[in-house]
Amino acid sequence: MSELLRCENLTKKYANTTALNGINLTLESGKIVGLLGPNGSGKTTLIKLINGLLTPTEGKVLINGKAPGVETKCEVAYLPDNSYLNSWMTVKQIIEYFKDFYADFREDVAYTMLNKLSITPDVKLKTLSKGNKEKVCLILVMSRNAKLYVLDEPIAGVDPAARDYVISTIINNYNPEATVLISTHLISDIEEILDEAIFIQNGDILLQKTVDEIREENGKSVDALFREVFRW
Amino acid sequence: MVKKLFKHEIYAYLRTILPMHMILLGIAILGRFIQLFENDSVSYRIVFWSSVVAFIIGVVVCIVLTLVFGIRRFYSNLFTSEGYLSFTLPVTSTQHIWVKNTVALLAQLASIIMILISCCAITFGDVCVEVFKAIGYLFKLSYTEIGYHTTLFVIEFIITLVVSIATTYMLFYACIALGQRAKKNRVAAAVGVFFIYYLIMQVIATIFIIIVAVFHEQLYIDELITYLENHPIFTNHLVFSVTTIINAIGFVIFYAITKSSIKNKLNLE
Amino acid sequence: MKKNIKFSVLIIALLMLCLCLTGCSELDTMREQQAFWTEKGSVDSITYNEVEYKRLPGYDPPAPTGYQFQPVFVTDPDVPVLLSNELSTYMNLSDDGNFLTGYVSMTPEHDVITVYSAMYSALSNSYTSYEGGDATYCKADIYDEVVAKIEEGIKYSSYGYEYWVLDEETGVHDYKYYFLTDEQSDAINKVVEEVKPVPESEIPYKTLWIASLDKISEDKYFSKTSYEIYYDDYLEIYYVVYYSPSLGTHTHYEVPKKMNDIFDEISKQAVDSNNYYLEDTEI
Repeated sequence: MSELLRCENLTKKYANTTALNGINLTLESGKIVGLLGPNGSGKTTLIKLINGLLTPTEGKVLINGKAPGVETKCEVAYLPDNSYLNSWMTVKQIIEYFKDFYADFREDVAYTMLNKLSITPDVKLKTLSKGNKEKVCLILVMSRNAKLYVLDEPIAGVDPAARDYVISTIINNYNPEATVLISTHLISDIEEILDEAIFIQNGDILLQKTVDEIREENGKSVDALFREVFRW
Repeated sequence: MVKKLFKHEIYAYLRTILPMHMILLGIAILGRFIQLFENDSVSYRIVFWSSVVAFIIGVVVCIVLTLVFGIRRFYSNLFTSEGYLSFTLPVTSTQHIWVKNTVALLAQLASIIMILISCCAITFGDVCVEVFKAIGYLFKLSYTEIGYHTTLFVIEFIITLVVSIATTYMLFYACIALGQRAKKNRVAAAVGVFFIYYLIMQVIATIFIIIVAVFHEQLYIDELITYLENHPIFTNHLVFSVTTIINAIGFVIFYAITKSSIKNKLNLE
Repeated sequence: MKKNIKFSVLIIALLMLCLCLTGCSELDTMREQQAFWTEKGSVDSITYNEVEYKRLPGYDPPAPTGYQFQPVFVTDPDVPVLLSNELSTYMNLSDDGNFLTGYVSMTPEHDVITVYSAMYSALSNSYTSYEGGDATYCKADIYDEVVAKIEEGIKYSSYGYEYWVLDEETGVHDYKYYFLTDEQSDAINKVVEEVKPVPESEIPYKTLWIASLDKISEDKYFSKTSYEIYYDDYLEIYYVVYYSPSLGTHTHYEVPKKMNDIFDEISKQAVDSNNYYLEDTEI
């Protein structure tokens, strides 16, 4: 296992707030990692920095030893927490779009998953329901053979049955040598697939341990520990 | 990767601009069809002139909509939720800016060409042929009588037009990019930036005019004007060159602002 | 999809072909009104509707009587029809189609025609003025006959002027010609011969223009611009006025009051025409 993601004294400040406060973080390849924290803890900021959507105020973030740029974007598959696709496109067109830009995109895998959902390629994205739209976004990301998958709140806002679908899609389609970083606050649904958990609050990393370590040391599930740590 | 970016950008334009062009061409053909029934009656004249007015409105709408679409495309593709997709593509921000500017410029040129084709369509036949003959004759006349290279004039005009269109788009891109630095109401902030720019330009122009008016003797303005009046060919070349250079400088400045804002100050929400 | 495109292209092509067959009445009118200098650079001959018109000799040639003329734009042979109204010399074709009259600009050598409009001035940012004068062209087949008449000497025996009436039934404006009687013509000649003229600056009050008189040939076929009639309505004095184009001056011959009744007759329909025109145009 090699080091895939490293954050060194990573800080992001806005005018009145500090979103990330000099965090140091290392992720190794081949793991499913949960980035867990309440709303406003800095999860999305960290994710945006990894994807080059923000520039750090101080410190650096390295993916496979490289700063976020064109090369790392070829290796990172990102699922934002909102709908980001051109709604006027059809499913087929967006698949072609991904195929054009990402050399690691697996078209056959995407169509197989779409077939299972009975979504025809010629429908426009804007005609799909919210749930189906989010599933299509997930399919596109998971059809890539990336080194790092970054999923921002993939199960928030979907019904329990759809959450099972999301989780099974993640498990069944990601590259076992890659790392999946899932940001969420709905831990009970995701805990069983996690290898590692990172607790983040107010821009600081409170904890980074494997799930087994957390259970052994604390005698409770990650979800229970989360509720205890982030109790109001 | 840039080729693919071009391909998808052009497709995004085609699906909006192409139907608009077809509508304009349709209005032109309909207008020409109305002329089949030419007579002296009042009703024909009303219908004919209505078709001419509709065509003129169509031309204006074509130019304006192409410009608006170009600006909107830049904003929506980079600074709304679509930006999450655009900025996570393995493409640099420089490539994004260049591709968008180039395709917007091509779309505007395509609109101009379509307007010219529509003008030919609405005058199709005798009138169109005579218009081309008249233009050709004027070109020849201005060369033989005045020594004016009209072909060179056309080339200079096209270069000036291309640079000014590209600069206009880049100006709007810079306004949008600067507007993104605001915490709230970023679109309103972009509009505000544009007005501030416009105000600054007006102030600069006024100061320039005042300086020229007050110091016109020391600056030999009268002699300069006389010289320019007596050398119209040189004056035309000068006007085109100066306009192109000023626009090019503006383009570079606006590009630098846009690139810097996107690279360092991007904050998609 | 390809079939649809092919079909659409075919329909548009057929439509365009049909549209090609229609003309444009404005263009047809311009074509009808375009004439050409028979030889580029020479003012001696005009070709209009494939008929040659040759310039009558002399620098003050006679013109046919009457003003119901059709406009004709004379251009160089290679000028396209759309530019014919701009890059042309404006002339009038007489009713019988035998004469073309107009003001022709030419170089001092009187042999090269180069007349352009504001378009040329704008292109070249300069204006070049040329000499010129009235010219009359007549059809080649009657040219010798007309020249013979001119050489014989056209006797201008009387006067006349054009006036303008409205046919109230049809609502159409029309020009008519008033030929002065012998007595009236004699009155004009007498005034010019016997009265001492005065320059315009010595006229006490502002005068009203009444009519522009033409000298009319005996057969009433030819006419030449001659005098004008003005009227001082305060002092009730008529003036016969001579305008010199070369000097740009007006010379006034005061009509003796005893001849006012004759001049009242001469002026009657002209005054009606002027009044009507003024009312209609609401200056």
